[in-house]
This record gives sequence, structure tokens and C-alpha cells, in this order.
Amino acid sequence: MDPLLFAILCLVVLLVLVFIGVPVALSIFSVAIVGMVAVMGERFMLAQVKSLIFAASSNYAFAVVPMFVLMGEIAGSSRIISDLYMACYRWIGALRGGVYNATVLASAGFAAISGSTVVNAAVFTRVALPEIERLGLNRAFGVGCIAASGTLAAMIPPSLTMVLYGILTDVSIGKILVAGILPGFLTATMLMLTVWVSALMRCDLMPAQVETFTLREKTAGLVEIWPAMMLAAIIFGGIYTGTVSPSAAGTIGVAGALLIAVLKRRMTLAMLGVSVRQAVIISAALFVIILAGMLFSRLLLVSGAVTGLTDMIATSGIGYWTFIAAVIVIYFVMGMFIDPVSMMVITLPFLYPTARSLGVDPIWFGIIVVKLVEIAAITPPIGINLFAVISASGGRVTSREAFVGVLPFVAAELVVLALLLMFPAISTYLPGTMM
Amino acid sequence: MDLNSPPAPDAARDPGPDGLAVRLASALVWFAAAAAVVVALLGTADALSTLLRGRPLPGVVEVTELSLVIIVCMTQPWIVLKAAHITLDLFVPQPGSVLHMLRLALTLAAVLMVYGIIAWTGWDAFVQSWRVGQETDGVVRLPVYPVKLLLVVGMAAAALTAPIVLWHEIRRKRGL
Repeated sequence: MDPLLFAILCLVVLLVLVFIGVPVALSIFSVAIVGMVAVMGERFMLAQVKSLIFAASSNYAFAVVPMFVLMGEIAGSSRIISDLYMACYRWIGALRGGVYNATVLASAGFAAISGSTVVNAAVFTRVALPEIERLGLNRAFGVGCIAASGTLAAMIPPSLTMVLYGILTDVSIGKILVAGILPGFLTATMLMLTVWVSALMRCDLMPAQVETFTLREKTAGLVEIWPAMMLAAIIFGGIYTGTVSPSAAGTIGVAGALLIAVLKRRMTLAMLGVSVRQAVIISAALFVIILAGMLFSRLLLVSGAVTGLTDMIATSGIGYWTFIAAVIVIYFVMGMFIDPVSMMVITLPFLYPTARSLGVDPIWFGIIVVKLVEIAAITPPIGINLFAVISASGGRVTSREAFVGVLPFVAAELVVLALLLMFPAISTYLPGTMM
Repeated sequence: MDLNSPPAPDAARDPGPDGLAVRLASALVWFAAAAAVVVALLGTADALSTLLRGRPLPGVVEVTELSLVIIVCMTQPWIVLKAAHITLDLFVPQPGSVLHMLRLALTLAAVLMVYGIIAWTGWDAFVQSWRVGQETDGVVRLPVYPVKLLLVVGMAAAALTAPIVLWHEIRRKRGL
């Protein structure tokens, strides 16, 4: 069978299984195993599984996954988010759109110590949504703001999305994490601008009575959050200067988050146990999908599908920007139905080698992919962050509210995407200065 | 879940089987959690040693690598039993419907095939490793075969949970 036809067949079967509801990792593994038997025979498949599973799961670089997850779990369960939100609210709550922008700013701050967009969105729903409701502000807009702000965790290090991209493509995890800093802050700025402009035009985004705080209260808020911000700075700085590897930064992050939680008397041994246990389950579920993706990549390589695709693109005259446009369309459409992890694991084995064959910068491509993943997380009908917000609201928020409220923020994300496409230096400048 | 993080099993859904199998799977998760704590502690000590003494602690990389395998494989039985895999819940079929049964059958078949093959090939790798007394590369040489055996145990246990999940479904359908 023609390798490309074979790859398309694999992809179709894979998507059918995923859409039926078979777990994504098992779907990918099954297609990879059966595909390898069909192409290279049973012995080859067994040899590949034997060599891959232990080698990949004992890769030191992958220690970053459980450590970043654990850091986020500890930070999430020790009420650091409430402190961040209150500190931001005291400083900017009285400004135009300030209640919403406090969410964006605090979310960006929490993204610097947590890599999970869903955790970010879900916890902020519990913290910021009651405040928005108490002040009688537009709830749909608030829901959209919370969901969109949650995606900042995918771009601002320590991002699990970035780590996954690095693992799947063999790009330096340290460099791709650092590359996310400027686009992350650009996105946060754009979200805040969106709130500000919307608040200029809509009076239902400003409270009837603005709460004001004294300088002492504002300063007290900063005192509460400085340890968390210091921790984020140590992680950023350590990775950027090359003083520590991303995995070591993860372990330092865990120790730091734990120290903060203990010093604030917000962490008991039982809570720590629950956090570690939850982090291990999340990490293992992520690992198994990564392993499946690696086996699937090998299938595409040995079947000749990757070579076939890159040859076809080389001979058909498809250019750099046509390819990037195709990637955007693929992620935009798939992102409406498939969660970010699955989308990356399924598509990168095809798209990354093709991108490299066209001379696309791997760091810049990673940032574009992560930005598309961010957009997918807030795009109906399967915007995973929208569902996180709806679920965390305890039934107060309807799907319609979430879908309508997020639209201005989707537009803002598209503007950021356009900027990243036009100015690759936003993504590549910082990694280029790394030692 | 986000790539972020895989979502915890939905509380509104069937919580899955219970009993001895779940307690055993839970014990394995605690074992994996202990491995994660070891990684965190050693990693922090290593970072401090590098910062203060200018040299890393020997053996940290090797212990971390072996601990990662424990984290991955010891948690799989729990993930299967509690349906904690990342799944696209585009359609949520009624229990007992054709789509529900099809999803269940395909999932359990995949669990048996995937985890079974990993355990099978893992056993082969363990025997080879044990025979030659395989050790980690590096300054500190640790035996690798015990962890390879744990990989087999975790993956085989995950494969064996498929009949338990099936039995639970049959009992639930009969209202037992």
C-alpha cells in the first residue's frame, strides 16, 4: 500500500476510535501496534515495544513532567491563587475593567508556577467568579475572561504543553520553555487590552461602586504573594541561565511551593499526600499518551509515511506559508473537537518533520503550535477550558454564556497569533540569548 | 485535562469497580507517589549540592530514571480501573446503549492488547537484564532488573483489570 494512503488510513481509524470514546493513549497504541504488524511484521513490533517503553519512561529529561504537575498541585491546594487574585484586585480592581483584569494578571502570575491550563481556569472560577457576581458585573464576559486567562499556563513557563512539545519533537525543553515567556506576556497584555477596550464600550463591565484600598492594604497583598513570585523568578532564571535543567527546576519548584505552603500553614501531611497522589496519576496518564505517541511516530517513520509526505510537499511546490496556513486550519478545526494533548500527539509526528523539511524554525513552530492549542482550549464546542469553568461553577454558568463570553478573547488570541506569525523574533529572541 | 492535565475521573460518572482490586491498585499508586517524593527530594538535594558545593550528588540521575519507571507503570492499574485515561467525551452514551457497549468492548480489548504486549515484552527484557545483572550507567551503579520486573508487574496488573471492569459492568447491568 502507498505509505501516504496507509498513514491516512491509520489516522482515520485513530480518529474513529478517539471519537467513539476509547481512551486516546489506547487508541494510539492500538493503531501503532496493529500498523507495525501490518507493515513490518510481529517481531518488529514486539522489538519496538520492548525497546521503547523502558527507555522512554526512564528518560531523566521526562522527570520534568511529574515535578511540574506536583508543583502546580501543591500551589493549587495551598490557596496561592486566592492571594494572587486579592493582591491584583487591590491594585487594579478600581481601574476600568479592573475586576476582570485582576483575573488576567493573577492568572498570568499563577501560570508562572503551574503548567496546567485546566487547573488554572477551574480554580480561578472558584475565586474570581463569586467576586464578579457579587459586584453585579457581566458574568458571561467574566467566564470568558477566566477561561481565556487560564490558557496562559500553556505558554508561560513552566508549561506542560511546551514540555510535551519538547518531548515529542526532541527540541530542547529548556529553550522552548524560555521561548514562551515573551509570547505569554504578550498574550496577557492583549487579554487585558481586550478587557479595557470592552469596558470602555460597555457599562455592565464596571461595578456601580468601586472598592478602593489603602496603600497599606495593597502592600500587604504584595507581601502575601512575593514568595510565590520569587519562586517563579528562580525557576525562570535557573532555566534561562542554564544553571539548572528543566527537571531540576521542577524539583526546586516542588520544594519551594511546599515550603511556601508549610510556612503559611496551609499544607498538612494529608493534603500533601493527596497532592502527590493526584500528581502521580496525572503524570502517568500523560506519560502513557506520550509513549503511545512515540510508538506512533516510529510507525509513521518505518512505513515511509513521513518521507512520503515530505517528498510530496517538496515536489508539489507547497511553500512555507501555505504549510503554516494548513497547520493553522488543521489545529483550528481539530481543536474544536479534540483536547490539546491528544491533538499534539496525533499531529506532530506528521507535521513536525514536514515543518523541518521546509526550514521552519523548531522553536517558533512550537510557539505557534502552543498558541493554536491555547486557542483550541477556548474554542467551542470542545474548548476544554470552557468546560473547566462550567464544571467549576457548580451549575451556575451555562454553555451558552461561556461560548458567548469567550468570543472577544478568541479574537484577541487570533491577534496575538498574527503577531507571532509576523514577528518570529518574539518567540526566538530569548532562546537565542541563552547560554 | 490539560495538557495540560488529564481530568480526574468525573464524579458524576460510574466510580468503577471497588473491593480488593481497587485497594491493591491504590497501594501501587502510593508506591508510585513515594517514588515521586524520592525524585523531588533527591532533585532538590542535588540542586542545593550543585549550588553550594559546585558539584552534583552522585546517583541522582540514576535513581530518578528508575523512579520514573515506577511512577509510570505502578499507576496504570488504577488508571484503568478508575477510567482516568485521557478520553474524548464528545458523546456521553447512556449506560447499556449500543455506543456504550461498543466503547467498553473496544476499550477493554485495547487494554488487554496494549498492556498485555507491554508486559509480555517487558518480561523478556527483565529476564535478559536479570541474567546479565544489568546496572545503570554512571558513577553509582544500581541494578536495573528489579525495576524492569516492576514494569512487568504494573503493566500485567493493568491488563488484568480489564476482566474486573467487565465483571463490574455485567453486575451493574444486572442491577447487582
